[in-house]
Amino acid sequence: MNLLAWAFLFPLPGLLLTAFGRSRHAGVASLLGPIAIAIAGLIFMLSDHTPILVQIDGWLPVLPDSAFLLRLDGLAAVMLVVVGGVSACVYVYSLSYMAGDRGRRRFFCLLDFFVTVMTLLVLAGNLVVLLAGWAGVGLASFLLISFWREKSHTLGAGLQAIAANAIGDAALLLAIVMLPKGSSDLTLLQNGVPLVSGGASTLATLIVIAASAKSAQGILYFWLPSAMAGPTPVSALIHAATMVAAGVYLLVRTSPMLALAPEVLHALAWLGAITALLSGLASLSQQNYKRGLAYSTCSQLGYMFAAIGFGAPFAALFHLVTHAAFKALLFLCAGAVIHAAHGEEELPKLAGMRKQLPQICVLALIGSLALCGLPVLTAGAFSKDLIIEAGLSSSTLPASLLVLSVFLTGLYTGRLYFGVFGATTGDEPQHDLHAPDQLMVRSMWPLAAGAILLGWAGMPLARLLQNAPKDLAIHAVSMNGLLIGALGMTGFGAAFIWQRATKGRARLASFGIDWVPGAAAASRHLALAFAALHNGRLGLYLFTAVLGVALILLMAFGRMG
Amino acid sequence: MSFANNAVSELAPLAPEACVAVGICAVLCADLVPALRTRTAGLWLGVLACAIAAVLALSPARAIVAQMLVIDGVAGLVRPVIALVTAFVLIAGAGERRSANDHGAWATCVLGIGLGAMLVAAAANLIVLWLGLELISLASYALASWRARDRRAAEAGMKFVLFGGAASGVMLFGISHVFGLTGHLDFTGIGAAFAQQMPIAVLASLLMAFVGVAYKLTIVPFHFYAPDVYQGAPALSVAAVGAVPKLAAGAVLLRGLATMLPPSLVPPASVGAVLAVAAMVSLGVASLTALAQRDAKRIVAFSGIGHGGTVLLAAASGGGTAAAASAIFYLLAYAAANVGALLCLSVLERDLGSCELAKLAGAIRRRPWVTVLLCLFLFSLAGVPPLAGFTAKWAVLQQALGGGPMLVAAAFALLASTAIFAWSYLLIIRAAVLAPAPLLPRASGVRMPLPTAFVLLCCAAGTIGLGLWLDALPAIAQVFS
Repeated sequence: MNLLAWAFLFPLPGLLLTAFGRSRHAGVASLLGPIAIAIAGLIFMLSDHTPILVQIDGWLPVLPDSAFLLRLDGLAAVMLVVVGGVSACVYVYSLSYMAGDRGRRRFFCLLDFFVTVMTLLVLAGNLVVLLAGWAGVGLASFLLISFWREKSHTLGAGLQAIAANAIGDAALLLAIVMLPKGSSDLTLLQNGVPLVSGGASTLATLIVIAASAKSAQGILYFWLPSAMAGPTPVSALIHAATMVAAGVYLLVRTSPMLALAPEVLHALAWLGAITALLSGLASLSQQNYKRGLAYSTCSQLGYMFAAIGFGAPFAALFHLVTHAAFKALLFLCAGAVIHAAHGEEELPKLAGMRKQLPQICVLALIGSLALCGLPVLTAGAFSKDLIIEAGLSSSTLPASLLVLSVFLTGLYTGRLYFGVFGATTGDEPQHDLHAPDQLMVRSMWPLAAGAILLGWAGMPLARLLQNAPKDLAIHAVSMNGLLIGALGMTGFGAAFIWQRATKGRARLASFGIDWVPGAAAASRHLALAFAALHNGRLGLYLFTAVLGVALILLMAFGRMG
Repeated sequence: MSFANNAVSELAPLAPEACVAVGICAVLCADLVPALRTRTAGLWLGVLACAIAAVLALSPARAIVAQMLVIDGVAGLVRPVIALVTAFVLIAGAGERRSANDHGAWATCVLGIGLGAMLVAAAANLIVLWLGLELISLASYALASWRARDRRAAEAGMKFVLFGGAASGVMLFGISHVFGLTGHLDFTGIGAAFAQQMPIAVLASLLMAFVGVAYKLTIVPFHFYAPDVYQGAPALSVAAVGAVPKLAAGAVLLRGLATMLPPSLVPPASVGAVLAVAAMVSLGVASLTALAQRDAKRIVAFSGIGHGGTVLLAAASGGGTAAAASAIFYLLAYAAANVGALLCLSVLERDLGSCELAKLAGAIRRRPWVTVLLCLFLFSLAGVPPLAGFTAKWAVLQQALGGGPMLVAAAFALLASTAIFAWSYLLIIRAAVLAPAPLLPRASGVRMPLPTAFVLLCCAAGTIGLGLWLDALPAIAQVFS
């Protein structure tokens, strides 16, 4: 059984085979890794749920927490199944999607690397091991976003991801520095007391900053829409289903500690709710199909953050699982459409795909309905309902923002869906289509099944987790659930009418709080100003140096006197 | 005879310095033989001298030589490292300067820096400190303007001389006041006199006396010469001018703080806060200015300024051995990565004509291994785990976070500047690795000189090894205590 905790090593044989193998079908061997990981998670779920611990002491003696600790418990097992399952689908899909790409071997090697570090992140038993995985997925994300080096803005997009991730890494690093000696646990608690002397709030704040960098929340959202420059399977796997959910995973993991810092939790609820609302609005103004979906991911991750803020980590995890299925599905559909249209990503040029891609149209409908939360029939409804119920019973104001976002979710989902698959007006450009092959379509069906059926997985999921509410009522048909579902479907319907009225060109005027270009310009100006100080004029140099001496002396006098 | 015996036994701890000095003479003599002048024989003589000096300096004996020099834990550790780094620079010179015909002169200058640095690292007297710094400076001036026909190099050398002269002047001014106020020039004497009475003037003149050290550590605002010198001088000479004196300056700074200040002022008390502010300014100015640079060597220069600030922060974090260990460890990690990065840039500079970012395009195609190593060294400078730079930053961070509010603020400045610096390093990596390039042929005709490859591998081993050798910090602290 101990072997299961080493699941992060499972993709390595595939990685080596893909990297050094001579097969013409590069990447097939890699498929073993994700499947093995998913099976490892399933085996644990079927066992008696005793956590498996691996501890190697004295790994990094300089650290306060010097052990190398792996931990496979219910939460980790759920994540293993999600990561393994979605990756397996995406791998199969990529075999077809990347078939003609010259860098196919490199692509699969990078995916393998990502799955390895993502699994390490999930299986980490303490903050140090977690940080190794945490930084690793950031690196993998950068490498995959910038995968198509010959495209013009991929590198900039990758560097944006690195920059945002670095903030998260630094926050986690600080948290590790602050931990006292001998604290070897991811709960960051000892006998129910926070380990850091300053109380839980400092530690909780750092964890929240780290999580929001990884999950593109708050002002750190900016990198996720840009990350769409990478290949679409990458967007589905990393930037929708798994890596961006790592922030939520970390929050769920540390939720007992977070619970001791109610003010941080409250801020978290607001952070999630506002992100959900604003990125929903931002999605409505996107011209690019994938960017529209990316903002939707930000919005849904906002739901999960809010759920943790409401003190309902189980609801967040549940939504993470269902979201992984339907959002990966939506991205893979988008990939199929873009693939068919020879790389075209602009919405107006993609219109009228229903006739040409009927299967994709059905799959995308399933994904869209799950995202809107069609009650009873789709998985998204169950998990979203759970979050909003939790919110309404704890902090009403952010929860009402989330209810508003449900309508927005329907609206933007519908706008994207009907924009691509809606009725044609006849004046669309005719596509010389490159139809997806059966392998690609078949790889999406498991995800579609997940998007429909995973809603019923709530109860078994709750049994797996230690701190899930035992008396959990997952209502399929509660009154609130039906109302929320109806709201979502109203949005979806409104989008249909909107698209009709605008002949498939529905788009909100540009919306977004884009602080990044401003900050970039400011730092550039600052850099140039400082550089101007080093202009080569010796007189200025000497003057500054003497001024420096004077200032240091003044400061010393001030300190002494 | 007994007098001679006494003198020998008293001076025995200085055998490494004597060895380097003899090495300099040997190189000069070899230079007189026409047959040897154009060969690299002079360089190898210097390497031999440094190697023997490094071995001699390893001796664990502690000694005080006439209140002038002291071989304490810090000096005992730093002196062999200085000798070793000097030897590496000389070895790399044998590879990189094959076609030159002035090996003897070049080796003399590098050895001069090494000797001066070893004296500074062991200095326990302000006059010896000043003499050592001058020895370093004089040799550095020559190295900086070696390419005399290059206008940029000549200008850099001129600025270096003038700026160095100013720093030296301020330092002498401070030293004369210290002597006037306390009647002592040796560190312990000054410390004793300072502890009895605490006139602000003593502190002020001490601060001025250490301007020369700040200048070698490239602390803002005594850093201005660095970017111009780095850009103008050949990359390999920069390795000698930049990394070696920093090691010595760090060592003497730690000793000065520990021995000359009265207990009420020793960091992390009030002086610590002053140093922390200086460190913050260095980190901020260097990291932001680096963003605007378009030359890889200038970026490395600003990185050196930032690293100097980090060392200052470590020294400001406390008078104990743990803080000293973190400062010295940081310098070791910096030296390994910095010499390595500059050597990579030296190879690329020779191949591509310049280290401007625009010219570096296609480096990965032309010199794949060198470029990969360059990335490794830059990653270490940026503080990416598990390389030495990360462990070192970590140690400094841990020290600073344990201090007062000013130190904690400086720790956050360190984090922020690390992120900003990472961006500048990425600019280099982008230029060398990712930027689309004219299809340069792989440099198959020009084989990598064996000495260069050897030094590069040693630096890489140091960079990785120091990162993975996790007991390094406790071990260094053990040496110091």
